[in-house]
Amino acid sequence: MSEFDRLVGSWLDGEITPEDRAALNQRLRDNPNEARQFAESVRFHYQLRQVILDDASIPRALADTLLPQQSERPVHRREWRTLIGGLAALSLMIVLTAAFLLSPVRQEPQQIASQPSESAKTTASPQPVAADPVAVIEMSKLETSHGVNVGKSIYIGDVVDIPEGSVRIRCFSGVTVQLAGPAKLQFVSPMKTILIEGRLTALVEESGRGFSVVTPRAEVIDLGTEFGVNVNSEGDSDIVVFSGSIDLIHGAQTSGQPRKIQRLNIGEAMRVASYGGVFPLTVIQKGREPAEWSAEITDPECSIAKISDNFIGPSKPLYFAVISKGFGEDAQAYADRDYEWNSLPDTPFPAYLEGADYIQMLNALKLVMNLKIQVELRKDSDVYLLMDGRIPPPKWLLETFEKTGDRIGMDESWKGDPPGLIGTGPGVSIDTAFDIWKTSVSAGTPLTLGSIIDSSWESPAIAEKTAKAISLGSLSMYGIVVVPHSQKVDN
Amino acid sequence: MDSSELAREWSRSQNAILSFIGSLVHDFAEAEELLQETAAQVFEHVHRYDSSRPFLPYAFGVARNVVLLHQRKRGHHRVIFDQEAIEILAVAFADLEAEQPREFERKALVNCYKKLPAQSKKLCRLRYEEDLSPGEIARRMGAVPGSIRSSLSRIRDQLKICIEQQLLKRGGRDE
Repeated sequence: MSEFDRLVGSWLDGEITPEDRAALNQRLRDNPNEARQFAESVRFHYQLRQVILDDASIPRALADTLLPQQSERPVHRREWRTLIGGLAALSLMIVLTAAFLLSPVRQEPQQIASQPSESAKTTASPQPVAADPVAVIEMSKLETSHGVNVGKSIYIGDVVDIPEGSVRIRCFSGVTVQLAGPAKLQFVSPMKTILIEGRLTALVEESGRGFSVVTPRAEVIDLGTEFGVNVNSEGDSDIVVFSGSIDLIHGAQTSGQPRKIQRLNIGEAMRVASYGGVFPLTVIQKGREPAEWSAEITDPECSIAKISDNFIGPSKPLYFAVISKGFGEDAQAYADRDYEWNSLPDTPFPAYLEGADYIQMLNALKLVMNLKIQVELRKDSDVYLLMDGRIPPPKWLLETFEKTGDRIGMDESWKGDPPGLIGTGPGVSIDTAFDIWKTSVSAGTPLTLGSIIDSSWESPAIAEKTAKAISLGSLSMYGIVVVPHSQKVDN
Repeated sequence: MDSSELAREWSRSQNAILSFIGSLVHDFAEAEELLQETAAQVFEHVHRYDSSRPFLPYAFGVARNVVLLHQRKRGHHRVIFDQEAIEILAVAFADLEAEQPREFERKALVNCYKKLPAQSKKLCRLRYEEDLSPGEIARRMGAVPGSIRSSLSRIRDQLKICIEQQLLKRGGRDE
């Protein structure tokens, strides 16, 4: 072994002395070839770690789920390592886990799929396991059944494996799961699942609070909500909250450091990448069905191509939601509120906006000063901006848009209000009137939007009116609706 | 550049950034934490990145600042490598990334790792999954630290040889 190899080896093993470190530093400075060799060694070092973590990730997730009392509180690797007494015990745990999952006590746990797993037929030492099913396939949209039939019971240990289409699973714990294929979902307890791959959307009733979804690099614990999780082929996990809140647990799964817990609320979304890093997903595409969402705009027919802003970041992981051809009565107004767009009483819904593409903006941005949002379109379009009529229009709006004279209503609810505050249908339960503004935008030309509060107001009267609206909390963020010129309907 | 484009750039470059950070700090967990902090800085200050210039050198610059700040906060006044060595390393990592022979190499590494004897895999898991140093592994296994170091070095060499053989069989590096 050369002296340089010895120095690199010491570095990789984390045991380099100050003298050797100084020597390595000097060699890196003096010899670019050795710097490259060192870079190659470190890169290999991290590749190997990734391969070993990938190799271990699913069994480790299973082991986590079966540790007593662990599911309802943060996971701390050192703590559970102590509990099971090191790797030997972990190996034993994995063997027991396999035995548990493959136990024939209630017949064999099944690979509910087109190609039943051979291993599922293997028997092991019988372990006590609940004989009752934990869920049932309630609806199926598969081209062929693949062994996943409506009415099929699901037991602990079963894997629902669908190569295409989607199924709705009713869990008896009070959770409804929509699974979109290709997907594999394993039930390890009535309240815990492992999403091996695919897209899941969960609607959780009160009795199902605490329901969790484990992915290769994260765990989502429901706090009473509707949320989505997608695990792609790279092992990245996307987590989106549609209503309520969840706790997202992520971070180093080894090394004895505690994993991080991050509370995500309605309108927030994060990606936990396969290497463990996390970053916000700023744009989500939502479909008409709850399960039809994706972490990017995939509909080629959608006129909205991109949205960017200067506010969203890891500490504010909000998302804009794009809905293709979804604007109309009772359309959800914001990604982070359940408010709805509606026609005003005794006023018809603007026909030119019916069925248009629109953006669910973020009401949380309503008081952000110096906000800059850029929207880029795929098609030449009319862009309609729906502006809260209670405050003076900001300068950027006056400069770019024209007021149409039409108005639309918003049906709002407030935190803590009793349920049922959101009405259904035209003109019902309207709280605020919005003015409709219009501009024309060419495909590929970014349209820049600003804050609803314009800090550059010179008129003291307008500033006072704006300040009053802010202090009363009586204002809302604007909305954006896009009508391609090719789809224009005459007013 | 908007956030989604930045996310794509980040996604493409994250392994290189992690390796670069890994060349400046000792343990995996610390490097991964600093990678997250680097991501936070990059995304928080998206406007600071001039998208007409390559992303990786910019991200390396952010990562270097994050590492140095972290070391100062932890009272490590002596940086691991000096400024000049760090700059040289940044160039070396950027060059490696530009060659992009990664995907087949990664697959080959997966195959080669699977072929390792159980005892070697156990050692790898202790070092690479549990993030234990050879000294800690030796204490746990009742072995001599030197023999653990030698074994780890030998395993790494075996894996590299195995990858080279697979690359030769396949007829060279991809892409």
